[in-house]
Amino acid sequence: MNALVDWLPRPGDEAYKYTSFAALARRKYAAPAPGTVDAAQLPAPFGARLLFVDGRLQDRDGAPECGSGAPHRDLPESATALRKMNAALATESITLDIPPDTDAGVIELLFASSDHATPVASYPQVTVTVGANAKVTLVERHVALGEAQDFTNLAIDMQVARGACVTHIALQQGATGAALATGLHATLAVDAQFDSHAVHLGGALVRADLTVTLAGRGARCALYGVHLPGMRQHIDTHTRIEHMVRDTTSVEEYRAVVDRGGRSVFNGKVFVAKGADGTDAQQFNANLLLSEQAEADTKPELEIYADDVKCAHGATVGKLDEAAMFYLRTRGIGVEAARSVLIWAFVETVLTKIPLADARRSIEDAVLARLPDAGLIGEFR
Amino acid sequence: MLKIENLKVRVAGQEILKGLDLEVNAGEVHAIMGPNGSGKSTLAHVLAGRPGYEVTGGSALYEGRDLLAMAPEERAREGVFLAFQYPVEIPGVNNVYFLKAAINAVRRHRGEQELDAMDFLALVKERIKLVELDESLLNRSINEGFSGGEKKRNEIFQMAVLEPKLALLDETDSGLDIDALRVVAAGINALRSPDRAMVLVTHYQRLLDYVKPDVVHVLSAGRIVKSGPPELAKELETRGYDWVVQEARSA
Repeated sequence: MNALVDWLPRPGDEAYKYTSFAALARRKYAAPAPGTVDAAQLPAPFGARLLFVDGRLQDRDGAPECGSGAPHRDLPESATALRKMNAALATESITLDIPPDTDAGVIELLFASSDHATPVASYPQVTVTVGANAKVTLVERHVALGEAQDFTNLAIDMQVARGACVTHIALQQGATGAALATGLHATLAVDAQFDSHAVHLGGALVRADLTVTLAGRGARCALYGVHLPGMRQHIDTHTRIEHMVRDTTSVEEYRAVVDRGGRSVFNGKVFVAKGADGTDAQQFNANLLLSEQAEADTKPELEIYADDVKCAHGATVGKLDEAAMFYLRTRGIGVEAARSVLIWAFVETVLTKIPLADARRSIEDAVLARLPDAGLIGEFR
Repeated sequence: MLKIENLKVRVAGQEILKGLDLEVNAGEVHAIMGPNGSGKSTLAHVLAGRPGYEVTGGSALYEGRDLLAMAPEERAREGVFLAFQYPVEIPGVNNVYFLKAAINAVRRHRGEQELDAMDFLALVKERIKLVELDESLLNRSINEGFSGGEKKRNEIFQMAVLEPKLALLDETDSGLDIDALRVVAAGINALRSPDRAMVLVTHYQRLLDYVKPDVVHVLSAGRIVKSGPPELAKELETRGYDWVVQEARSA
C-alpha cells in the first residue's frame, strides 16, 4: 500500500462503478522530479505550447497568458474522489488568463511522460479564465516518450465569461501501462460556448470526467468523443452537463470502438435545474464491439426539474455490419481493410467535427495508425 | 469461364442447392429463372462467396480454378462481380472513394498501376453516363438515401467501372419502374462483350425483353430442371413455372 490509498475512490463509490483505481494503491510511485525530454521527440505543436513533463510545467513557449499560483484546495462535497485527490495533492495551479475581446488562438497543454524507470504520480492543476467575448482553442494532449506506468491526475477548471468561445481538443496517447484521470469543469456565462473533442487512444486505465455548467442564458456546449480501447485498455468518460438557467443548449456524441480485451465506459448525465425552461439537450453514445472479448458499458442519465425542455438520448451497442463487410469484399476490398473502412466510417463522423485542421489531421493519422491495413483508407479521406 | 457441377449448398442448416449444373462461356449471357425459393439468389451469393453458405458437395470452376476456395475479395479481384438484389447502405463510406479503393485493389492484384485521382475521375464520369446516374450521388455515402432505382443503377455503374469478367446480376430488375428498367438494361447491354460472361438471376421475364440472353435456365428446388433458347422465357411468362416443374418430375 502507498499513500495514494487515502485518496483513491473507495469500493462502492457509485461514480466509479465500472472503473477501479484500486490497483494503483499497490504500486510504487515517485514524486515528480524535474524531468527532461528531448524536444526533438515531441510532436509538432498545434499552437503556443505549455510543456508539462511528468506533471510539472517546464516550458511556456510563447504563451503570455500563463502564470502560476497556489493550488485550489477547496472543492464542493459533491466533487469526485479523483478531483478531491488532485486538490489535496497538487503543488501549484497553472493559470491561463485570456483577456476579454481577444482571440488567443491555439494554446496547447502538452503533458509528456519522460522516459524514466520508476513510475511517477502527478497532480497538475490548470485554471483557465476566459474573458468576455474572448476566443481560445485549448489543446490538451497526453504523450509518452517511454513506457513508464505513471499515474497522472489532471484537473482543469475553466471560467468562460459572457459571449466567450472555447474549443477544447483532447488527444490522449498515454503509455500502454499508464493510468490517467482528467477532470475538466467548465462554467459558462451568458451566451458563452464550449465545444470539446476528446479522442482517447492510449493508456491502460483512463477516466475522463467532463463537467459543463451552463450558468448563463444562451450558453451552449457540444461534447464529442472517441474511445478506442484495445487489449488491456479501459477507457471511461463521465460527462455531466448542468443546465442551470433558461435557454441553454447541449449536444453530445461519444463513440467507442472496442477491440478484444478492451473496455469502454460512457456515463452521460444531463441535469436540468428547476426553472431552466427552454433547455435543449441531445445525447448519443454509440459502441462498436469488434470481438466477443470486448465490453462496453453505456449509461445515459437524465435528471430534470424543469417543465419545458427538449431532452433526447440514445445509446447503441453493436458489431460490425456483416452485410456491409460482404458488400465491400465483393468489390475486391480485403477483410482487414473492409473492417478498417467500417471502423473508420464509424468514428469519422465525430472526428470530422474537430475544427482545427492540423489537429484533426494529426488525430486522424493517430486513429488510422491503430487500424490494420489502413493504407487503403487513404482513398477515403 | 464458369463450370458448376453437382453443386450442393446449405444455408442455416437447410439444403438449398441440391446438385446444380451450369456452364457459362465468355461472351454469353445466361438467365436463371425460377419460382421464389428455388435457390436463385443462393446461387448468386455462393458464387460471390457469402459467408455462412456451406458448400456440401460439387464444384465450381472459374477459369479452371476452384472458385469456392477463394475469399470473396479474391474472387472480385479475379473478375467476379455480384450486383446485389438489395445493395447495402454503408453510412460514412463515401461512394466514389470506395469505388477508387475497389478499382485499385483489382489493379494492384493484376499487377497494374493504380489509377490516380484524375484518371479515376475521368473514368467515373464516363461510365456514370451509362446508367444516367446523378453525379451528385457519387459524393454521398454508399447507397445511403438512394432510391431503389438509384441503388440498382449504382450496382451497374460499379460493374461498368470495375469491368468484371463474370457478372452475376441478382434480381437487378426487381423494384424498378419501366424507365429505370430500360436504363439499367441499356447499361447491361453496353457492357456485353466477347470477353465477359453474365448470369442474370430474375424472377420475371421483363428484363429479358431488353437484355436478350443466349440461354435461359429454369431453377427449381435447387436444380436446373430445364434449359432453352430465349423463347423459353416467354413461355414461362405465359404458362408459369408449374409445367416445367411437372415435366422435370416426370422425366
